[in-house]
Amino acid sequence: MNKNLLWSAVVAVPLLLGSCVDQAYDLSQIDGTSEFKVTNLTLPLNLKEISLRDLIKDGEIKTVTAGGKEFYAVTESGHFSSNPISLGSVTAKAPVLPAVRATVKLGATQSATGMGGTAVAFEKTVTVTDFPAQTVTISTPPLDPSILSVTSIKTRPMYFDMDITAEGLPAGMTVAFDNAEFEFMKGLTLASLPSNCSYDPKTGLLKVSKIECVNSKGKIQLDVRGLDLEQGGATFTSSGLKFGSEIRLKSLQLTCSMNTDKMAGINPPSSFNVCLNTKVSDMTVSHVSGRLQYNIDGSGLKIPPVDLMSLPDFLNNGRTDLRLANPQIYLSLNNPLAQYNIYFQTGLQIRTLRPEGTAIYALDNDGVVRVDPAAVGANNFVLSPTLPASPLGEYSSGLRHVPFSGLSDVLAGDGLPKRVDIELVKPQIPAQNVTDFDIASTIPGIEGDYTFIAPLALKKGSVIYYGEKFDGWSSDFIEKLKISSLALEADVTNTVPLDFTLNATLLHNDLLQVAFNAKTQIKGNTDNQHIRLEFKGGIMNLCGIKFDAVLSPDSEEPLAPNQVIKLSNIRIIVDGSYCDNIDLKNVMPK
Amino acid sequence: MIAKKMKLINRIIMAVAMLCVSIQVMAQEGYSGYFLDNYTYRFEMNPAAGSKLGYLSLPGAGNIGVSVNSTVNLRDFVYIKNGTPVLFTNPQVTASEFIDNLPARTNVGASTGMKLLSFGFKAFGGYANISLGTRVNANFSVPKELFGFLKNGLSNEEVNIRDVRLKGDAYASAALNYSHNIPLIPGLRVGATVKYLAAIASIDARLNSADIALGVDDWQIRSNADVYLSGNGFEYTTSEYQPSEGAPRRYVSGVDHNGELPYPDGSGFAADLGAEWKWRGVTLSAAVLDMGYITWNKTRLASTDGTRVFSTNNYDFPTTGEGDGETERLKDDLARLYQLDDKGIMAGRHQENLPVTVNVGVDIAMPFWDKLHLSALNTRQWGGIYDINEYRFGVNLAPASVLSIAANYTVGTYGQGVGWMLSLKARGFNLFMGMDRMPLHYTPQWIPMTSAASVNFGVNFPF
Repeated sequence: MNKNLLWSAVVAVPLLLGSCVDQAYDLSQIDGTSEFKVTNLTLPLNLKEISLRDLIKDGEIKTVTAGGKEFYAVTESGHFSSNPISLGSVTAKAPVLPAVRATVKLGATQSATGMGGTAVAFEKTVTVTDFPAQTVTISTPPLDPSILSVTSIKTRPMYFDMDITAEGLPAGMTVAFDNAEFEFMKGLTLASLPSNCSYDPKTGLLKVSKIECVNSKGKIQLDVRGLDLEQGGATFTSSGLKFGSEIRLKSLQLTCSMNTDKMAGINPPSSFNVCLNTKVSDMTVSHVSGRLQYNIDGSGLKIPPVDLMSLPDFLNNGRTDLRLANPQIYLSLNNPLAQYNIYFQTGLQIRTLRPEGTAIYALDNDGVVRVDPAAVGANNFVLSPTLPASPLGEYSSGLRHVPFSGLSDVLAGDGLPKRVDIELVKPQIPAQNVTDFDIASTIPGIEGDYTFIAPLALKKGSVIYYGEKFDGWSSDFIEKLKISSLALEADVTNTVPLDFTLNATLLHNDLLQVAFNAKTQIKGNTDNQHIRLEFKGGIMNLCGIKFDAVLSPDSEEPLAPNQVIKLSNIRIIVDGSYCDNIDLKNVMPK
Repeated sequence: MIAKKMKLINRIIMAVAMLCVSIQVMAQEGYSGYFLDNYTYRFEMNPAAGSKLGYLSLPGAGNIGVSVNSTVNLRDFVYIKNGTPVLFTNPQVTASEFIDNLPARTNVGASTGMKLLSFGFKAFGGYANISLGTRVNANFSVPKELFGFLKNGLSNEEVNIRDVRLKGDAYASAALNYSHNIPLIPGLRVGATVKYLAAIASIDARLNSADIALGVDDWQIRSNADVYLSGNGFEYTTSEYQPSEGAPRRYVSGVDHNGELPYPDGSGFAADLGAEWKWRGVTLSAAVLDMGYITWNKTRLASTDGTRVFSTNNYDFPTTGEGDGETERLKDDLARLYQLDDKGIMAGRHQENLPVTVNVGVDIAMPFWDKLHLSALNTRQWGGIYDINEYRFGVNLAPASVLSIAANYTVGTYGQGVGWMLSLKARGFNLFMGMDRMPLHYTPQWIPMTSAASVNFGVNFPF
């Protein structure tokens, strides 16, 4: 009996044990909720430093180097030129002078005859003084109105050709003319008078001791090259130059000679006429001396507008008040008039166009840029509020400073102007005396190079808004994230002269509704400032993050490409969990 | 009289129990029959075991064993909270509750063994066995830290995951066993088995280290892994990875077989030694098994070539959004952590020692009924990817010469369990079946809640 019981037990125990079902482990009811924790996890992150060079795309803002430092700047440069300077010569038509005559009386010419009917030489010298005067009037067309007054002129060669002819002489008789004395036009400048001539421009007395004669005809030619208007009694009006005078042959010595032959009945005449015929050529005025005022013009003087369109959007914010830090306009000008010892000048202004109107910024005290003829070296100018300590190299030679205080504020205002024009104002040769100014030639125009440099800075009170949104994160994974706290810590070194107020907003997936905010401030020009952005609370259903940065200037230091924001020791600290429901019920056997 | 007997039984049980404190019992395939006289394959656990009858196995079915063992069970991963089963990842399960329950390493093993043909007979005054068989093993071992990492989640801690190991091998064996009584010492019987092993295939994946150090100032991940692949026709498949810079690189993405017949590509030898001493109903048994090695002719190595390091300090990310390749470089380096290079066939032959098993046990016949025995057995194994130590306490009953029954309780590396064996053996026919580990508890879906299961079955023809 005992053996049977033991036998039964040995068989039954394993069977009983093997059939034990634990109802508590009904896996068809298993709760698959699973959680993966993230417990105050610090994620170290290394970010490269952010320089303005990284944020501002190439070409958006130009850079300039001054004092060994590179700055962002509005800068334009180019070349301008005026039209050539040309007043134009004027030509007076040649006056026509009628010939004048005088009678030469020889008297008792027989007294010279010889005896026996043989030929006898006849020679007699007489002086004629009763020539009538010839009236000369010369008028030019109007001269260029730039010519305010004329004291003297130079002309192209103008000739007075005077022919003296003995009329009605018998055959075999010759006449020679000497010692002519004219009352001529005063104030003339004569070129290359022969040695036997003299002319006094004050008195107009022209003396010719020996007149070249051929066949009893004498010829005198005067080459006139200029006129002193005062001496010559000429007048200058807007109608032109005008002067009038008389030419009178005061005296002329004649030597008459012939071989008489009584037997043949050949005797000298008792009288004959001498004719003076004067021809004058056109008078072309090539140079003037006097007073001149010339307006320099030409489409080449227009300077293209300063390009502000490429400036980045964040500088074109409605509340961005840009200041041009140490702005400078450089000009380099030639002076084609230096040979005339005259100067020219130009004003300069900047005109900005904004929706609310136009603003004009002019040189201090209506100043001008004056290009003197006696300047040593290049005519270089810098127009700026103060003389720059380190001017641009290419303009540094002989650089002169022209005060332009208003230049700093050219871009000031709400946002950027739509247009900035640099204009030369009244470029001109101011009224001044000139000597022998060539009006017949074309003088090359005024040429110049310009460079507008304006390092950019933000005026205090400026505000730049910068917003960036990263969304579209919604996914099954994100929806199952529950963040208890999220923090970002970093040490910030900021050499940008801007204070940053950074506001971060975590966004729900419910139409980007604001969920959690965190705010921090980064000071401008700071070193190792610790910042912390922290979100706390049950953050769920994230779909994105939005950053709003408000930037305001810490100083009016110019912006420079190498100004950096460096975040070091970046730590992202997360506490939360990922919860999901693993659906095991469907995979469990029923 | 009955009281005296009961007192004696109690004493014996106590004695066995006390013995078991120091002499431990094991559980492995067929081990439930370790002390069953009519279990044909005792010689595989102790070569000194002989038999009264010769036998010839049913070809292919003389002894088929399948076992799955694990150091963790369902309760380690499914908890009851508020009357509802929940996963260990459920927030109601605390980290310490989960992690403290886990063993230091989670070891999972599976093996199948099959006797193709076995023949036992009396010879030279002793007993001899000749057998041909195959064996396939797969073992997996991961440290507790891996599960701790999953449960604890991410925090600024250092997690060192070391010696994650996956090993599988298959080989065939031809064994010659002989046992003989030692006349000089009455009751003593010794035996030995020599085995020739024909290597078929092996894979040994070693994740030597995967260290994740999530520091406040730097995150570092270090990986060091090697994979040894042996077997004719086996090769790595590779994929191409195009890094952001430089030439594309190939990495091992899997294992494939080129279709050739898996004929042996190596060989090995092993020896078993055993002894039994019977004295007045008490049997002491000891054996050392599988002292030997397998050498592979061609072994392909995939490796990280040492330790690869990923550090967040190596990357400076750009801030402008216009990537300068840092993100891509980071991805490349992360991918590089797990991308093993195909190093080709290793120079020379690759030799692996077999895990050595030691069995020590005692069997005591009950004085009031010599067909009832109590037994205790300790099995230890070294040299595998993890060590095994199991104790088995059994009741063995042979009410008739043709019937043997064993039932046992086991505890050890794979936790607790029960086993049993039933063997019918008569001249002309032998059938045995048993479970070294039988799941005791099930879910209502009949999913075993215990950590191991092992089945043995065989048909032989005694003569």
